[in-house]
Amino acid sequence: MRPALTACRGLALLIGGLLLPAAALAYDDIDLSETPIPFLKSEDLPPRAGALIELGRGINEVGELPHGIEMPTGAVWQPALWIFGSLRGAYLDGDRDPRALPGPNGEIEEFAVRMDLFANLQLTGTERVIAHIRPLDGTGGFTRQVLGPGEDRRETRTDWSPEVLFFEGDLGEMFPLLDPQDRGEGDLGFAVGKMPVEFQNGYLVRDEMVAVGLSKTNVQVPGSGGVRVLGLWGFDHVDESNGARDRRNVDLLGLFVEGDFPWGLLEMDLAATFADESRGRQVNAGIGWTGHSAGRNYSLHVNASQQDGQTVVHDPDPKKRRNVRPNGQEKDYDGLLAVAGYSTEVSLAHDLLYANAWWAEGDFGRLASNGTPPLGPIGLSFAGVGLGAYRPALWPRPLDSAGAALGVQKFFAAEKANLVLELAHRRDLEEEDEFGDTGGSALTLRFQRKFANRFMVQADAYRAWYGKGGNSTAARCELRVNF
Amino acid sequence: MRMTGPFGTGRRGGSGGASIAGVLAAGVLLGIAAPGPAGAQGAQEAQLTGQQAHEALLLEDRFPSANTCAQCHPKQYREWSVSSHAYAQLSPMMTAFQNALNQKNSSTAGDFCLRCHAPTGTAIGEPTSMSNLDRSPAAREGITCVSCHRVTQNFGKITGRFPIEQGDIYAPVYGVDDGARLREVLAQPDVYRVQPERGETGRAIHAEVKPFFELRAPAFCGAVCHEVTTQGGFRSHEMMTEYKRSPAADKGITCVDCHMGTEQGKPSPFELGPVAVVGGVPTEERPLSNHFFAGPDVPIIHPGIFPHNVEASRLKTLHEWTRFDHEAGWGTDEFESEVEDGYEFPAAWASADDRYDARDILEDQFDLLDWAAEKRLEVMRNGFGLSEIEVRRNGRRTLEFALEVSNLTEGHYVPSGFDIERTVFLQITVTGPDGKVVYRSGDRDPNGDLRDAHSRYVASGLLPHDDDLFNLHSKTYVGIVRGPERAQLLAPPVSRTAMPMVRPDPRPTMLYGRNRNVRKHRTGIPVGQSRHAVYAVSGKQLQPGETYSIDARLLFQPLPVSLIYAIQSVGFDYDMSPRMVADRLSQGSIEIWRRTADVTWSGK
Repeated sequence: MRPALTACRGLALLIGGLLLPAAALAYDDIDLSETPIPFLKSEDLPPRAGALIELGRGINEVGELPHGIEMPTGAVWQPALWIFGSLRGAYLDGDRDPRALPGPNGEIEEFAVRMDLFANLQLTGTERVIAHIRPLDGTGGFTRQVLGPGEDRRETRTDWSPEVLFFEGDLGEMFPLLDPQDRGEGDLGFAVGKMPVEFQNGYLVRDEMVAVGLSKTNVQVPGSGGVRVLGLWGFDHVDESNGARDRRNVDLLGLFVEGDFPWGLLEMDLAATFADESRGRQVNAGIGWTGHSAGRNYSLHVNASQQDGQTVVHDPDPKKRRNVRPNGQEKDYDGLLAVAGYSTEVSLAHDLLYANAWWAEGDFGRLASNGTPPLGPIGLSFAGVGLGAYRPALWPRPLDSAGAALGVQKFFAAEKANLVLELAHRRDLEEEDEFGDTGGSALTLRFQRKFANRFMVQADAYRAWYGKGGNSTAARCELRVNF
Repeated sequence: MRMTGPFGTGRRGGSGGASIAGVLAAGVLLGIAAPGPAGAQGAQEAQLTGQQAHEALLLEDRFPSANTCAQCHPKQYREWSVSSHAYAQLSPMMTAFQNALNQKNSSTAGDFCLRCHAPTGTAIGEPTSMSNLDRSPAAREGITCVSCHRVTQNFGKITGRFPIEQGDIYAPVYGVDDGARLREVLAQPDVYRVQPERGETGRAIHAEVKPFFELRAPAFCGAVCHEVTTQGGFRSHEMMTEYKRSPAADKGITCVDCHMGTEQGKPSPFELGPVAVVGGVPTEERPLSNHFFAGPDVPIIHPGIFPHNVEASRLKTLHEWTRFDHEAGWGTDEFESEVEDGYEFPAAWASADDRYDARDILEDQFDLLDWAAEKRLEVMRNGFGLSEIEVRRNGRRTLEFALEVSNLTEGHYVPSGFDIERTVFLQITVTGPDGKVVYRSGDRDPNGDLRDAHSRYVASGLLPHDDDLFNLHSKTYVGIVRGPERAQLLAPPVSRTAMPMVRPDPRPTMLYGRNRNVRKHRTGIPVGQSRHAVYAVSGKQLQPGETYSIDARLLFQPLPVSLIYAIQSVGFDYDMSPRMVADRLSQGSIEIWRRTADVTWSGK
């Protein structure tokens, strides 16, 4: 056993031991103080962590503002360019029993980096252009130093293509002269370009695609506090359900409705992809509800996917087969995923308890995906961290399975630090598929601590035990700076 | 000494021919009048006020104070002086809220709130956190005269980030008329004794009123400040969006029509009067808008500081006013005739004459505050409707009754604006014939909080949750590390990251209508709609044949007490304790409507 792992496990036990009693109810300072608390002076506040580059007015910065440029449409533009982002570096030490799960297994020790760079050109309060690149990672992985086992090599990845590049705004604000009486004609939100598209908490779709969308907020529906209706057409970079392929000739059409009601937030979404020769059509529908009562929070998301029209080729030669599983079944994304969530605060310090569970039948698939784990929203044990080779402790694909995650989060240092401890379990409901038993249990830990205004350290660790035998352990430590 | 009523001229001493231009203003505005503070603290304050006076001189050339404008526009000044606009920056809750946000997110919230609440203070680069007692006059005046009358463009939904034209009193102002009255004044120098030229002797006056008709447009009020979206796409105020969907927009009824007329909250005509009183001489009458703009905020600070008052600022500094114990009766005959030798007054208030002068000023302040309270109630009553109590079930197991709360406006939700904090709730009490309370909802815990999830008494299990609470307070829901979002009083998503920062969202927030991690759940009542509150009293609490009194009050409180917990770590201005803030918030609740009914429970 490597020392890093031993240390991490020891740390996990120690922190876990501390966390459990802390999760118990701890109430103090219930009554408001009659003693004045000194009013914070400016010098007692942290300095403003502005963007790396701010041309024009800064983000929420005091000082004079420019008069701007009056456009022929009547809008007044006050251009400001902000370049900001984050740089992350993480050391990872982990191993996974080769018997454990589909996907990469084995030992890994590395130091990987990731940079997210954003350029936001703000034109008005509503119109802007934003671009996002990740120059230090790309197809095939992250820029990293592989430290083991038995090797020491550097891999450099660069990618200057935009993850995101879109223009968005409000038509009514762009063309105020068309609505001089402010009667709401053209009061529509819009976006065009390559943009993140995410609905149903990412279960229905989570992808960056080239699209055009139009929405109207605060639509009046009796009994509702306001409904948003959004139509979207994605026509490029609509990736496959597992995020493996960047598809060029697929269209996505969707209608997404979300409304505030006294009994909660209702999301009703319907979307489909068309015209891919290989994968045919896929239709996804989802309904979601999030409600709150007496400090307890609940959610339920039910999503279904159905695929047809795809090319299916049965052939003894695996290379000639298309959309057929090894067991001869047609491979399609037909399935249902139901996710229920619960959370509540367990102390006056706002410490949290959460419990999420899912049940999936068939091979439910996102309509389009950027490759992030589909079950990631359920628990840390099913999620990645977006950096390096750190893998979820448990298999994060719904495929005929059920499972749950139970976690507690404790805050420290005026919420500048927090610790999460999570127990998770996954169980296969259908073991006759190509992957065998994908079940297992995991204990996952995360610790975050902010320091020096722009820096944060994050430690993650897990220990997992798998249904088909074997186990897995990983620990990582990340340093992040926001600029 | 006293002003002549809510709309007296507010002038003290002769009208004089002396200019009140820039240089003069500093002393007047800062109130650096004798006698000055004494002692070590006093010396420090004297030094501070000297420095402030110097800064105020310079600032007056850029952003004239409302006190300067008051010399010729007493009516407008007086209405504004007690308005929510005038209180915007003085609110100790607002300043603490801004500081608490900055404390949480590496100060990336910056001047976000202040851009609307103190547009001149942010423009001159004042720090985001400093006591209002030390801020420059125009900054602490919040939305002061120049905040609107020195704006030259319609910026749309800009969340307060608009420039104000700089210039001294001689520089042009912007209004909704063609400047005819000003030309009349300028044409009669013998009557008005005005001097529009810098450096010349005479009463200083702006030489020009430039038309800026957009001041009347809904987009000016609604979009510039009353539609607020963070850089991250969180839409905290949506008044302009609401308006654009409203019948008022279809009918051409504007913000000005309902909020600057003679009746607050309804389209009403302007009163007639002189737009200015120059050297005691009124100009020709014309329709005058009301600059009070009745709003929901209830002032909780010392009455010597708010409403703004030229005389008060002449008499003492703000620091000194905070030490005037008006509740003890200082300056009244009752107190002064019986005050014992050795009673320790602060040095600034050692003189009984000063205390009497201060009391005179405060009496006028109280009158003005009372008038403002009436107008606030007026706007509330024109916004909210409350039905009579409807008994729905009078049966064997329960007594069930309901009330309907409706939106009477044509232009926006109720509550609107900062509805993630506005608390409009029903307080229900059912009392038996013996005076015993058999049912409550909308009552408060010992801190003054409603018994909802944010109450510390409820969270700690000392009081039960008020399951029947009817509250139109929209909630801010914030994503957590995993699992369903939770309600937070401050928006930073601290559960997802220990280092939250305000940055533009990489998602198209205009398209989604919200930020990914933070959203407002709207529970206000849209135009033309209503909500029902239904209550059921268990038969176990009732006796058949007995008559029970139902008391229902629709109450408005600008901010929930629970917010104090969330922001108290940064302290409150004016040396106020959290408890003091809470008590004054609770006591300031407005009873919009009250309904009562007596019901005899059948029990079968």
